[in-house]
Amino acid sequence: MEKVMVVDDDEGIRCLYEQVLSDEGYKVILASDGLEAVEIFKKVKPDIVILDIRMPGMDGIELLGKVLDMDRKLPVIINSAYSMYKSNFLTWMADAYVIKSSDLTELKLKVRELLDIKKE
Amino acid sequence: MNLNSESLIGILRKLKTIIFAVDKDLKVQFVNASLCRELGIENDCFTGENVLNLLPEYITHEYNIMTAIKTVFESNNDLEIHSIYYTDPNTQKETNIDIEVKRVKSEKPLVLLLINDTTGIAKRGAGLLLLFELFYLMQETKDLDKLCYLILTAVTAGQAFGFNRGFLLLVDGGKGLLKGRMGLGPTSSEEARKIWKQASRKNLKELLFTFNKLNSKEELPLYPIVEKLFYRMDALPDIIKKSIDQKMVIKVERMSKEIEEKKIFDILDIDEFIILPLVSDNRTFGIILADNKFNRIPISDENFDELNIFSDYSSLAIKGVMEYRRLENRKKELEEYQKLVNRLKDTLRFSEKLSALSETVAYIAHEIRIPLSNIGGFASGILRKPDDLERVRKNAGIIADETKRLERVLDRAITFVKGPEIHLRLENINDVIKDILESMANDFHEKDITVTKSLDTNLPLIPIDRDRIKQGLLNIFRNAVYSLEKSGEINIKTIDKKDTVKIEIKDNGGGIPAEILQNIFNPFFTTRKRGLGLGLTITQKIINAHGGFIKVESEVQKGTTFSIFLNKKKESK
Repeated sequence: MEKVMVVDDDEGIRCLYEQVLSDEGYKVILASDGLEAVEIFKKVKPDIVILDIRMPGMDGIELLGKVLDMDRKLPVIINSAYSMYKSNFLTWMADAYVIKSSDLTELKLKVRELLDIKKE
Repeated sequence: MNLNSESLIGILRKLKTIIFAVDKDLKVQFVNASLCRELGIENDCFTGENVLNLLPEYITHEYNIMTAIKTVFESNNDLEIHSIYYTDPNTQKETNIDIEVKRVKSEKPLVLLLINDTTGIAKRGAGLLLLFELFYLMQETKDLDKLCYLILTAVTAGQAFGFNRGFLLLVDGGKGLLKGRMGLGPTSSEEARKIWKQASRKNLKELLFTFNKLNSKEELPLYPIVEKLFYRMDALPDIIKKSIDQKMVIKVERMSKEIEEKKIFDILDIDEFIILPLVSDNRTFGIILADNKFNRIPISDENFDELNIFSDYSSLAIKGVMEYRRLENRKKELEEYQKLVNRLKDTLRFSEKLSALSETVAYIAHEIRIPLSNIGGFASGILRKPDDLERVRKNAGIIADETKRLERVLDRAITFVKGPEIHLRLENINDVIKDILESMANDFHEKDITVTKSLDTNLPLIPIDRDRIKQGLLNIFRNAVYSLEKSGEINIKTIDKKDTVKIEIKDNGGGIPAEILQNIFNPFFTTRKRGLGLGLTITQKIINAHGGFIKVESEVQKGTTFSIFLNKKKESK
């Protein structure tokens, strides 16, 4: 089972993504902030990471750098309520940038797409 | 026997004084013997004649001698009539006459009518007095054209230097030109006579007043000549250069061999004139040209001393006005500059507001988007598996929670826009603080923060909205906790002041730099990555709504102290 890690400080979102991505047949690993994510990452290697940007403590962009340090080939999706970070060149290191919405179709497609590329 | 004008003036010029003794009926009792001698008549020749019949018409027409004599008889005070001008129609020669009417103490009441020739004396004596008056006026004048008019009035007024015409040329440093600025005097003999007749009865201030009625110097009759008077500073006619270099009044004659440049004589249409240099502190301001075009009286050098003094004073006055103008211009420039700066400031303030607004929108979008997408997401979850009752229950619960969250966002936005609504009740502020410390106990514990309090137990109850004050103070405590590293300290005090209660919240955190300190109450100003920058704004609004105020002192590396002052009595509004 492919493992998807979701890092978001909003409990509602974590819960929602867990539900939706489980329905899609993934194993979902949750982290509420950057530090927790790094800790978990040391023990469990996810196949893909979905990152929020605005988080207390270590923000998503900083976490993105740390995650890529540990695994250069890991696909990362930035998932933010703001579109403005799209112009922050640090986010270009991520493989995709998806704006938060109640319709998770785009997010689901991106996860699938990136996992398929990784397999090839 | 009647004395006609010419014979009277002729005799007057010789004798300098003619005396008539007159009784109450204006009958001549005696005249000075020298007059009779000059006329070749007996001493008692005029006795019994009406004095008005003896005087020339140009005196009796212009001046009411009869009234003057009667006034002196009645009042016993002497009377003087100054500056009667007579211009000989043939020779254009000008004579200045004063008439004195004096009471004589004698058996029979008599007055003496003294007719004096003051042509020379008047010009020097009265003229000097007048110059003083002029210098005073010149110092007062701030307007360049008015000053020029004053100077030229002195040059041309019969009471002063009495030239027929005067021209003033000023240096235009920017263009390197010496240029005609103003001319004063008549344009024809006809006009000259008219002006002199009027001028003799006007005092100087009246003369100056005439200028105020003019719209511009271009309206003066001599302006067409003025326009023709201009020289390049590096190619001045020798004679002008000489006057300026030597700072001397110079008389110039067409016939003089040393003068090569004759153009100026043609422009002025005259054979002689004088140049007065206007030089002060080695700075050349211009020159004055003066001539006697109409009465053709040769220019004598008898009052060159006065003219030299006059030219010094005029230079000083022009210098003063120039300096004043320079300062005025500088002031205007500064004012313009200030206006520009203010406009830029306004623009900046506006764009700051715009950017604050766009941040508000971004904030509200964020705060609404997340609960909204959660609600949508969980609702879709129910739709996908409506039969999974456990999931339906869970998702419905989350949807209900997220809806409450949305409501809170809106509440906060409204509080911010409208300002808090407060309901005052008498409360003990110490209790409120204890509440807050309790609710934040966890935060303090997590960061290992030591909280010390010294609360004044004798504080009176004060009118506050407990929940609002709690909200306001909480924001300050949260900031304090945020600013503290592990094992920091927070000290809280309440103090009874005269009309207020002071709450002091002090931390030993990193402190706030001055440039940030001035912004901390501004909406949407924050140094945190996450945070709206509304906390302290709302705190301030709450405290202000209570009629209180906040003071902040901060020192980098030492910590920050917030002092909140709340009124003991309800403010009457």
